[in-house]
Amino acid sequence: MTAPTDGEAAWRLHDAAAILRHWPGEPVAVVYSAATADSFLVDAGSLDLLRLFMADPSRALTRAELERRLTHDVEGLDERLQSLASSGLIVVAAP
Amino acid sequence: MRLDSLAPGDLRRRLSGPGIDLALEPFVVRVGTPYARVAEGLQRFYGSRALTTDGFADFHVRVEPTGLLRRLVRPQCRFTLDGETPFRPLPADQAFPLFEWGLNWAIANHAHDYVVIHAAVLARAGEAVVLPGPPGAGKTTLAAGLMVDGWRLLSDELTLVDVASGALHALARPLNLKNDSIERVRALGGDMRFGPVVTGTIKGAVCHISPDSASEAARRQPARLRWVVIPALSAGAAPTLTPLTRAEGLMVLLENSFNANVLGARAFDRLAGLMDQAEVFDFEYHALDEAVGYLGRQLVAGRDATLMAHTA
Repeated sequence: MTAPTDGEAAWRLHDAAAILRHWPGEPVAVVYSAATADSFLVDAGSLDLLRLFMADPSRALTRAELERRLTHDVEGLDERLQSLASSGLIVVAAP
Repeated sequence: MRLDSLAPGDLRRRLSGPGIDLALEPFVVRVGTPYARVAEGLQRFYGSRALTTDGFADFHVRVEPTGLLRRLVRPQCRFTLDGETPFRPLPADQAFPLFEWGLNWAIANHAHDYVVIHAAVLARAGEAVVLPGPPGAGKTTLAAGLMVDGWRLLSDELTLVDVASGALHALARPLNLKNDSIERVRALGGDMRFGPVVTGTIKGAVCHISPDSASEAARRQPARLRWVVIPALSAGAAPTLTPLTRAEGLMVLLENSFNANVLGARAFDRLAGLMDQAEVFDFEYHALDEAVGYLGRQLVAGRDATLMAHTA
């Protein structure tokens, strides 16, 4: 994992082989993780986060960088990160 | 040669020996057993199926008595697949249900050319409705009702999605009715053949019935997924369809799949692709005849409305 540079904990996609399926107009999407061979239903807020990770799957993103790159507020950002981490979709690295 | 072309004595002799290779499309099953009740069940439900002679079978199964002592006191039978015994023995009078349940297990755990989903599946004009749900949700009862109402039964238990093509393949094997549903379905009429009611099983009283003749005749015709309907029996409820998202429908199919974890991304991609053209509903119901009529009308009406919108 890329080492965080600003002292924050960082997150990255658990595996680059995640597949996202989202149908227009639907508030939820499904993600397949090759790492866990499992599928997860995610809501719109978490979907925005996942798209950031999937756009550059090899990078670790700090919370500050996530906030900069998000084009709008994601309600409950910390809780969503925690939820995605507990699902095994992203991993957390301590600073 | 068809199975029912064998005289009962000849069939029993073959089954007691090396077994017969039975074409249960899309599979061939080599089955052997000394039990007359299994031979009778095979004759009743698979009489029109072909016996293959090329020596290949996808599954080698037997239903046999357990040890000598058990043959004398509370006799039991066991199911074997390729000589292995995956389940605990059951009372000998459950030999035919054990064959059916064991074969379901064998298909669900080994037929990895298909995404195998724990769901009933029926079709009308080539368009399939898949009914996933846990035991007790009423899948088989609803499937039997829809079949009598003119839908073609592909399976009451296992939906087979061809990984390569996405087509849904029929098994057209017997439906496994349980407890109250036996008489509810018997009251519907139809040309299904009912087997004996076997009591005291882990599922209560069970009765296998054949698909209707139209479903058996069309068993080689695949269908394409059009609807996913998640049934829930609810006391006193009027039949109600509630739309769900395709993402939710995909999750339900994945959660009810026996082998999506084996097939991995291929299963995900295939099922997600099928959902592009599907509609998904929760379906709450109680009275079977009301449910069947309502469901058929709503699904067909929805399809016609979609067609009108696309052609307008």
